[in-house]
Amino acid sequence: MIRFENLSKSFRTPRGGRKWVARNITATFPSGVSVGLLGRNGAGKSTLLELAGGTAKPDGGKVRTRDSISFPVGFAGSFHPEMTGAQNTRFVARIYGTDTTSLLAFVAEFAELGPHFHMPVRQYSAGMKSRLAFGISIGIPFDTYLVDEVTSVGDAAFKEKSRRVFQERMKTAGAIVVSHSMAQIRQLCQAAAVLERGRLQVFGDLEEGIARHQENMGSAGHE
Amino acid sequence: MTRSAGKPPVIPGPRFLALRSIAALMLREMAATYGRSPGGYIWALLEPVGMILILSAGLSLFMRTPPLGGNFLLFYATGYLPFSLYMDISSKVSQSLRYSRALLAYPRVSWLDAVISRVILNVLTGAAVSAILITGILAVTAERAILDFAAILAGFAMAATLGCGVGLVNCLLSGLSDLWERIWAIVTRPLFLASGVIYLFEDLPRPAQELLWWNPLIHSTGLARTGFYATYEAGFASMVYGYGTGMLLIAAGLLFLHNRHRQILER
Repeated sequence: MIRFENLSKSFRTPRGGRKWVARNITATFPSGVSVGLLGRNGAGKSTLLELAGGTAKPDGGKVRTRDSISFPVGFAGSFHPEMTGAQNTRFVARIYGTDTTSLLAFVAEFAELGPHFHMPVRQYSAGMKSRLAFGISIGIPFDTYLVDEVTSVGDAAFKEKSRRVFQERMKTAGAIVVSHSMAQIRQLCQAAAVLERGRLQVFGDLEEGIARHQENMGSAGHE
Repeated sequence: MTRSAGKPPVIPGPRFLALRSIAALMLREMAATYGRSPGGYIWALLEPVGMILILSAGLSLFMRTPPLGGNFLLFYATGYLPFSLYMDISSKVSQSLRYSRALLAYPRVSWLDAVISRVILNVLTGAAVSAILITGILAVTAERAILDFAAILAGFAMAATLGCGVGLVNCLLSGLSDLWERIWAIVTRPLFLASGVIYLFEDLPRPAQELLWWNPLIHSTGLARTGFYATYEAGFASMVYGYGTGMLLIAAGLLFLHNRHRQILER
């Protein structure tokens, strides 16, 4: 469970105004449920994920949770080009204190890198890097996964496998998913949260949330 | 709302969290730094050892008898090692936020972990290099030294403290302004000549002494040498001044970085 209490976050805009991502939000993301985070472009969905994960600091209010929360799924920015895929995997396992051997075994099998797993990451193609990154994030048993626009990687078989592994994880864990594709949201989520002008509304029913989101998007055209 | 019963807590909680990420960062840096060279991190030891041997061979052509003892190599090493410990720590710490920026995307890694891991790794590396070199020199040359480990430790630890303090403050200032790095590089260019590496403080003319006394590093090299040369006392050296400056810089650096690290990372 992740609970936002009176959460506020805003940025200064270049013209001297203020843009609100969160305006006194109080909301709860339940455990073990995959929630689609919906909102128009620039509403601040990514910032809200950062607040939930603890990488961004709120201006006011609190994020309360006792769960372990993932880094953004598929995050590859931390890979050191001079280290092998295995060494990079070991580093993430160490900071999260999970069993190194079992994570290595999982990633080696999942990412389908073959002998490249033990070669420096600088030699990897973009696809290999994303498969490694996805393997590491999903291989660690978090309570809540943060997914920010996962662009699917690999061929059809790999995509199918990724979806299966993700849904397997969702049996015991929750997620907050940001995506522009309603098809993907419907595939991965059971509930929705709609972010609009600094207000967040959580819908237990996914379709209800999507309807509200589409209503918001429609009304935007008339402004 | 609650965790399903019986599910083992697979990811350990926040206890020892900092220690874990500091250790992981150290191992990562060791694996990455000399990743391309065969032998890996061994080069972190061999490189300075080689450089000191070459430099002192060159310098010994100019200075046949050192101001202390009979062996130029030992005299040079006892000054250069604390000096390079300071240089390594200060430059590595000042780059620490930039080096680990990508890793701070993991909420588990804090900016302080990035700094501490670099301090520990470089102190350990510097200590290993120093121990290897001095043992080697004492074994190979005929120089007989009665080692005073307390004095050696006091001198080297002072260099490490100063390196840590200067590194933290530079991390802050160069993070806030791009100009600072350039200015600092110019101002500290003559530091090697001003820190008593190839001469003794006591042999300087009075006006130079009065000026260079304010360089805390000269206290550190002086103190370290008293541990190797029983006849040398370094009466000018002040623990209070050397450690005081270092501690003050560390406190200021930590305090301001605590407030400003986000601003520096977002630049």
